[in-house]
Amino acid sequence: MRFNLFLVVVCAISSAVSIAAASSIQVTAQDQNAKPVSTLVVWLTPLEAPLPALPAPGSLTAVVEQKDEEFNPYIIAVRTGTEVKFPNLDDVQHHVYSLSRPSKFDIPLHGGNTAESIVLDQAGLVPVGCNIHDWMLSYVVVIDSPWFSLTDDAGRTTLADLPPGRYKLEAWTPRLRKTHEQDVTLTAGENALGLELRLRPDRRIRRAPTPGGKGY
Amino acid sequence: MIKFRSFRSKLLTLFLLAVATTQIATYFIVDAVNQREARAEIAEDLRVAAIAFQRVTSERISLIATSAIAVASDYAFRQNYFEFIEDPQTLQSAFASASARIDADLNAWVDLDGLTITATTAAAGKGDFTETVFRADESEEARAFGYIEINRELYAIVAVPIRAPAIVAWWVVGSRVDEALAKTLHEMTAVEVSFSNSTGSVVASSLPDAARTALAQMLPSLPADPNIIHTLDLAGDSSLVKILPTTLESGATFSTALQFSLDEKLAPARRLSRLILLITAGGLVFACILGLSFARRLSQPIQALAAHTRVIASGDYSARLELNREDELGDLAHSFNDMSSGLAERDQVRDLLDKNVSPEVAAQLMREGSSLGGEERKLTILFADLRGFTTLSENMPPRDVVTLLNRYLDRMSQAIEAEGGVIDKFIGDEIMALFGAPVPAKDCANRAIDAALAMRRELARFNAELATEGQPPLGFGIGINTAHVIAGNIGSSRRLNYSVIGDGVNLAARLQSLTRNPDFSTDLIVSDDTLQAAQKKRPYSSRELGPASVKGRAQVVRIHAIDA
Repeated sequence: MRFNLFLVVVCAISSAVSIAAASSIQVTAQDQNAKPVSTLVVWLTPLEAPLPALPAPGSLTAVVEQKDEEFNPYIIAVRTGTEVKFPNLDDVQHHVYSLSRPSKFDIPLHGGNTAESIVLDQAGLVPVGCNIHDWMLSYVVVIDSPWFSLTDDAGRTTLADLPPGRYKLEAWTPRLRKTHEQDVTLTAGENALGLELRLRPDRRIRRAPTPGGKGY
Repeated sequence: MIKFRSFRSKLLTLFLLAVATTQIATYFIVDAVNQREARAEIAEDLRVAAIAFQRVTSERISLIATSAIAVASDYAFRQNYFEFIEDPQTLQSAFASASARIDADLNAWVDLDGLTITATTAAAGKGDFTETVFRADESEEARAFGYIEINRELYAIVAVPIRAPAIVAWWVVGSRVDEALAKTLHEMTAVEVSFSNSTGSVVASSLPDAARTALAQMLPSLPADPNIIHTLDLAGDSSLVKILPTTLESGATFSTALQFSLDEKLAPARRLSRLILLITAGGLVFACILGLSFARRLSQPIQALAAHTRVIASGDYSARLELNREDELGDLAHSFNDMSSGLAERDQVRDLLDKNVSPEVAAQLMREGSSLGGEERKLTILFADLRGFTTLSENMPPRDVVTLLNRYLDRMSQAIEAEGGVIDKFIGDEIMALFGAPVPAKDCANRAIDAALAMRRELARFNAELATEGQPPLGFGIGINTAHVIAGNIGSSRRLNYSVIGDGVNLAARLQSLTRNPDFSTDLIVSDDTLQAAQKKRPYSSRELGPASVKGRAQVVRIHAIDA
């Protein structure tokens, strides 16, 4: 009974501690022209604590559609080990590939509803292209940490349920020359961080106008 | 100062001067306009050439860039790119193969940090493409254009991305700014193009060697300002030169010298100028001929007129000038002829006048016009009347009467005029003569008496002639008076007579009548005034006839008979 009580107390304390110690951070990003930076991938890696264990293989999935001869979404962040599916919703065939170091793959010409998938088991940047449509490009950011998010149109995102402590904050968008890195110390409760990033122009290839297509 | 003796040379000189001034002014104006036009045209040519240089270079490099992108977009190339990077030897050969697919003078692969991974030539390997790649990376179109100098050679370069599918590296392609480019630009624009590198030495030029050397020597000292157009003497060829500075990626500059020969541009204008000169010379010769003939045409009639004037001055009014012209000179000739006619007519009138009036009166009339007289003057009046003529004439045919009378009057007139008397008028067989009018004469009384004595002698001679002809002798009676009378042209507006009026005139006539009186037994009676006046000069043999009463006079008059 005493042991049980102790356990309960310990549990209660630990629970209380963990609840009381949880911290969150709101990141707001703007560029050199004070415009909000949207679809900025932000992630935190603890500097003084080990990363939480990766989930069991096959438990995480993500989808990058091929629709209207575009990848959707353009930028996606996934945790290491996520299985990413590339369904083709178009009538035309696509040839999805990536030549990146974290994951080099090649899904030859496929059409219909075939949804081939790739398991991304190494952290890093995986640019995905289509061999026959030069303009089709998607970035899959593979992250070891569970704490990652993308900014909204207001350039804002909130990462929650982090233990307080020191972290390495990283932020990336294709318009950044290099991944932004900085150390942050999260205190219990809400934290806020404003980022001012120097962005390059969006240098995506202009889509070729296709007959009857939905080119812009 | 040249003095012109003749009207002709004056006219000719004026004419030539006008023509020459016009022509020379035209020549210089045309020349100035041509110069200005040529310069403006060249300035425009140079402006166009500057644009052409930019356009040609950028198009040429764009074409190469497009090829590079096409090669880099090849899937196999993309797929293998990361393999190349890992293996230097494969990289080199793959790069050589890829570069061979495009026609570029320079190829280099540069990593995202601007470091050259590999380049086609060792020289290209020395190029610093960091700046170009950085600008490309910062640009929306992921491409940058620039100029670079490697080993003193100039290249236009462009950096394009190698995408796999994100940008993984940069492909820098270049086109050499060389002689071929200069010649192409020259062919396109006719402007001579030269390029000099950052040290100022000419690396390529479309100019011939001599001009190129001359330009190379001048170029370093000239400011590279595209707004200045330099006028340079390039190997004897006057040229307009514009120097465009272009910034290299290193920050240094190279110059593009655009040059157009002013002489060449002016060549057509010069031909025109020569033509104008030729026309000017021809025009002057023509003007000379025209002027000469015109001057002659003008001076000849003037000379003719002058000669004619001399003829008229000599008194020959019958000569006529025939110029056959319808201009002012023709009019002048006509006027001259009219004048000659007028003079001839006047001469005739004068002639007639002389016959009808005494020469003295005629002369005075000619001199003073018809408004003669209206003046009181002292003169001597002589009246001479023929005796027994009426009886004589009754037995003679009229023609013989007139002939006889005229013979008598002629002789008497001569006697009167010989003494300076003026025949005032013939009243039938009576003569009225004046002494001292219209020409004043102080000894008019003497003259009148002398004339009367001469008439007496003349009548004697005439009677002797008549006697030989079997005719009876004639006799006369003369009365002379000296008095103040009024002299002048008396008559109507159409017919005038120079005459005298006054009491003294009547007295003279009365004295003539008194000679009829046999008691006086004389044919010449003079008044006391006349004798007094005459005897102041010289004595006369006279006898006083005593006081006589004269008709129309209240007082008696002292009269004298003159014997000799």
